Amino acid sequence: MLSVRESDVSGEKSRWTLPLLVCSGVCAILLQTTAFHYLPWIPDLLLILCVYLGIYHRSAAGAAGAFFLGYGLDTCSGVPVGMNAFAMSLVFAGVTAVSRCLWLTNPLSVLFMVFLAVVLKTSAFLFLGEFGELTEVFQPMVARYVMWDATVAMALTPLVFTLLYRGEPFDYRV
Amino acid sequence: MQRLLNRHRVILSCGFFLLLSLFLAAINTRASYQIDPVGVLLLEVMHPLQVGVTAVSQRAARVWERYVALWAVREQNEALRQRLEALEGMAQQATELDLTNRRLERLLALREELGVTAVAAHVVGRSSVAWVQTVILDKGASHGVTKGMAVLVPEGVVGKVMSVSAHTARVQLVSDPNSGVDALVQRTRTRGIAAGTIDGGCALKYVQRGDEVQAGDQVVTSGLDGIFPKGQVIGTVARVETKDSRMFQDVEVMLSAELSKVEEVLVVASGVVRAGE
Repeated sequence: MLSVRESDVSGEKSRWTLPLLVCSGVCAILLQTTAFHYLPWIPDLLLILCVYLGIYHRSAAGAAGAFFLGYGLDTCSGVPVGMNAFAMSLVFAGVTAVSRCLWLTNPLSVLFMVFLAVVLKTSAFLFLGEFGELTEVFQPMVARYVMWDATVAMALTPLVFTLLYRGEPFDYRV
Repeated sequence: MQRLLNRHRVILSCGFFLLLSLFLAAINTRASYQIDPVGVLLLEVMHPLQVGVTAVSQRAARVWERYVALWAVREQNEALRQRLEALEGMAQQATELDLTNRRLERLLALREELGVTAVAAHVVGRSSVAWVQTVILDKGASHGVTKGMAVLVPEGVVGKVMSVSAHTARVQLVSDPNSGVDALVQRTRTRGIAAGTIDGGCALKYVQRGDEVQAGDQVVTSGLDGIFPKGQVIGTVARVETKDSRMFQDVEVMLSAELSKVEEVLVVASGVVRAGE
């Protein structure tokens, strides 16, 4: 049972959390589908966001958020709808499962979680490639770039986590 | 049942979204790009934002590319400049080698023409005093150079060896005021002594008033001094002046060899050579 103060904080939190996460998601989708294409490597901000949701928002809303992040990316990037949605849902489920068993407060454990998330996402793509007869398209691509993806994502994780963490009152987090 | 659902709400929702996404993926990958009303709506909402962000990022990328390109051009410019300098150096070296080769070829031809063993030498030093016209050669007694040998270039007479050391020789140029070469005007066979003047030029001395000499006549060695081979070009008559009060004519000679620029010379044994003999 939350105390009055915690309840207040929680209430204020709930008002800010959704807009914050939605804005973050929209910004991440926009950046990933537009501006980041000028960079040598496209950082997967949505994946980091999903890991964040999996660690700090282990709820049905968090699962929905992960799904819609992937769905939004599918829609805006022209990828067959469901690919990223499935991958992000899987990442969320995996991170949630791990964070239920382990404390993921250590930055290194978070980075390791991001690395696992990249592997999980890649596996999801490979699975869907087989499943959707898109092996030729996806398999070489994801297999080749998984390490780079992981490195870039891990490099950006502290920044993204810090920004999101500061945007939310601590008490609200699960 | 309700409690069970509440307890496993996260797992169930995860499972639901996984299945939903799998379903979406299945229908969209097998029959690609099905009409997706939600997706269309989302795309319509995101479209202006995407256009805006794309425009901004394109502009930023263009600025960046120009900046980077500018750097690249600068580096390229620097590299090309260095390459140009290197090539200019090489070209100059090649030109120098070519000129040296030509000079040496002509020296060789002269030696063959003279038909004697001659020593080719480089000028390694020059007199620092204006009224003493001498040069130092890099060949001396150890190379067979002796005092009194004639020094020539294909263009003409240079001077004669005044002194030698083991590895060097000092040459008095024909333009030195103290020098003297027995000479004659090629056209009229008028004799005289070609000697240097105080201003670094050359004059044909002791040409009698009645002798016919005119500007443009070529002055060559007579060979009678026992030093210079006969018929070697000394220069061309530049000016002739006859004064009533004087017994001899003033004949100014323009030297054929540019003594100030001579680099390689041929040292020929004195008294034994007669050109054409």
